[in-house]
Parts: sequence; C-alpha cells; structure tokens
Amino acid sequence: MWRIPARLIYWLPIVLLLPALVPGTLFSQEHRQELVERGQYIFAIAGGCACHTVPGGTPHAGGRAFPIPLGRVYSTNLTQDRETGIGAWSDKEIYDAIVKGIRPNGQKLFPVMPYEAYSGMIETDIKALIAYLRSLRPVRKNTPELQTRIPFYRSLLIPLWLKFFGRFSTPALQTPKVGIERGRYLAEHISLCGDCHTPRNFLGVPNRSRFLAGIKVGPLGDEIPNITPDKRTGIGEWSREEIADLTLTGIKPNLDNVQGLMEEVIQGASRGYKNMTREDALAIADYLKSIQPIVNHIN
Amino acid sequence: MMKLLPSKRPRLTTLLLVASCLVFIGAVSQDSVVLRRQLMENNNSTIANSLNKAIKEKNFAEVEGNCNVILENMERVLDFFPAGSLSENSRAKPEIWAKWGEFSKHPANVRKAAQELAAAAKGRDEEAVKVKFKALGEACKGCHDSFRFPKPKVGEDFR
Repeated sequence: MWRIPARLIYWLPIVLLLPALVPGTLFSQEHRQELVERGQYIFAIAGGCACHTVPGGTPHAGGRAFPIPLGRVYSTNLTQDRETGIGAWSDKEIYDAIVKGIRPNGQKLFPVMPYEAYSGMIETDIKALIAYLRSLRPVRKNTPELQTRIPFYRSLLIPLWLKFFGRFSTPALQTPKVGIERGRYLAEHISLCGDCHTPRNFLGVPNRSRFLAGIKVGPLGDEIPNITPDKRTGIGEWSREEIADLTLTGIKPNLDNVQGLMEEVIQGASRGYKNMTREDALAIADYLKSIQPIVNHIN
Repeated sequence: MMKLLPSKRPRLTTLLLVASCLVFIGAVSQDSVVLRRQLMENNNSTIANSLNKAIKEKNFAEVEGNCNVILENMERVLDFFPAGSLSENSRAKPEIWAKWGEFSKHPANVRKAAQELAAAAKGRDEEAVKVKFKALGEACKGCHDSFRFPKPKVGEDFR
C-alpha cells in the first residue's frame, strides 16, 4: 500500500497555510481580478477613454491632437509601456494624474484632460480603474510634445487657469447605486456628458449657465447637440428608453445614427458606452430629463 | 487664323462628344446626390419619426403603412448611387463603388428588417414591434457605419 512518509506529514499544515502567508495568493488574485473587471466597466462608461486613441490607430496609445488656445496638446499613451506609457508610474501617480491633473514630474496636465470632473469620482472606482489600466498591453509609442509658442504654459498659465476657473469636486463616500443620483454621478464624473455638450469660451472655460445646451462649433469642429430636456431644441420629446438606446447603440429615435466623437465613445477602442448596463444608461437618461431645459437651436 | 485640317475634325467632334457625355454624367450624378439625400432625409425625418410615434401610440396600422414606404424606398435606393456619384454635397464614401457587392446587400437587410417589423405590427405584438424597430435601426446603421462619412465639420464640405 502507498504510504506518506512521516516527515512530509509535519510539512502538510505549512503547505496548506502557504496561500494565506504569501502575498499574491489565490485569494488576492481573485480579488485583483474582480477589481480589474470593475475597472474595465468604469473604463467603458468613461467612453473607453476614447481621447487616448487616434481614430483608426492603436487603442489607448495616445497621440491624439486636441486644440488649446494658441496651440495643440496630445493625449498620453495609457498603455503599460514603461518608457512611453504609464507602466512606470505608481498607482498614486496615476491617481494624481486622473483627479488632480499632476504628472509624476510635478507638471500640470492641461485641463483638456477632464481631471476636474474626475475629481468627483469615488475612490474605489478610481482604484478599480487604475487596476484595469495596469492590465493594458504595453505599446511603445511616444506622445508628441506640446505645440505652442506660449512660454510657461504648464508652469504658470495652467495653475492660474485652475485658480480662477477650476472647479474640483469632493467625492461622495459611496457610489450612488440607482436613480437620478446614480445618473448624475455617471454623467458628471465618469461619462462626462458636459465635457462635450457644454459650450466654452475662448479660454476653454465652460459656460455652466448653459450646461449641456450644445455647441454650434465644438472644439473639434463638430456640431454638438443640445441634450437638455427642452422640447423644441433639446431632447425633451425623447423618452428615457430612447435616450438609453442612443447611449448604448448610437441610434436616434428617427433611426439615424450618430457618428464622430459620440460614436467613438459609444464603441470605444475596446470598450465604451455600449458596454454600460441598461440600468446605468436609464439612470443617465433620468438625470438628463431632470436638468434645466435650455433653448438653444443647434441644427 | 489657324484652320483645322479635315483629318483633325473627327477628333474635335469626338472630344465634344466626350465632353458633353461627361457633363451629362455629372448632371445625372448631381441629380442622384440630391435625390438620394431627399430619400434618406424622408426616411429619417418623416417615415422613422412617424413610425416611432405610431409605435408609442400603438397604432399598428400606421406602423405597417410606414414600413411599406421604407420597403419601397429601399427597393429603388441603389438607383440613386450611379457609379462615381461623389459630390461635396454628399456623405457617400467612395468605398460604395469599390465594394458594390457588399454595399448593395444593405438595402436588402433594411427591407428584411422592415418586413419583420410590419409582420410584428400585423400581429399586434407590442413587444416584438419594439424589438423589430430597434433591429431596423441596426440595419440602417450597418450601412451608415461602413459607407457614410460622419457629418462634416462646420466650415468643411460634406467630405
């Protein structure tokens, strides 16, 4: 008969307890996987961070140009490449970039990156998002340098801009789970409807009295619709189901479909609004129907 | 003044003939662009809106009627895409003619979706009508995504 040597029996409890003693155990890996999956969902409802992909280019590798007053700035490579992406950044450094707009070298990010809005994101959601970003395959691609002739743009002008016009939020302690409050949280701090649909002045300062009222010529040259519940010029006639359908599929009630940047955030380079749960899309719809209607005819 | 030699005259005639043909084709293309835009705008702003309203009001006869108009429109839509009918007033992509076989399947997809919607309306099946209406939107999107440029940026022409 097969027998276990006596010496091995003494080692058995240690072998069985090993997973609990060593970091990176089965339990923590499972927890990590769960965190990554939650982060993937946050990433999706943030429009797949579409600004970090050049249309048709390598997903999440940055390099997309955005106009700024008297210049042009390029989005960062979000992949885990240690030299050209954020692979060498610590979790704290990524956290600071997302919610404070501070790079690891202390430089300020341009507020084209919507860190003011993200500052209202709940900490557990940001941690999950960071865990997901850590899972992105490294892609070596340098981010082009800022193009401007204005000196001290990052060191002087951005801090001044933030001092006068910046509006950071204090996150709630817990993520709202349902209803208009859930919709408000998603729309204002993760999906960021206002980032495109609210008009800005020539300095890029949002006109909050015309929140979500649309823009005749958006920053990338597109017409951006009024999504306030005004019945004539906004989406006041749309049902909550129709708003949710557009968010999830890009198809309007008249069966036409959106294209351009809205389509990009719906599809995402890998994941986007299309991966949002219907409940969350309906929560955003309920929130949009609850805000102040503004008359602003776009098209 | 230089006189054309008799041997050169046929060439000039040929040139004039070719030029007038090109002008004619251009005019036909322009007409096609106008007509297809009218047809598509009619599909969106009139038929689909009316369809949507009829679904909300559970007016199934109206749903069927609107589906029939879409079926007719999709029956003839390919005629409005003669070869090379590109224009600064059109969002049509050149891929339409490069991949005509693929492009020409889309109206059939839309027709199929409209037929299924009409059948659901005929059966007065409210839930099926909603599902088939969404499927119709997906069928339209299938073509737009591949063969239509996004709306032009302000100040740019259609392409």
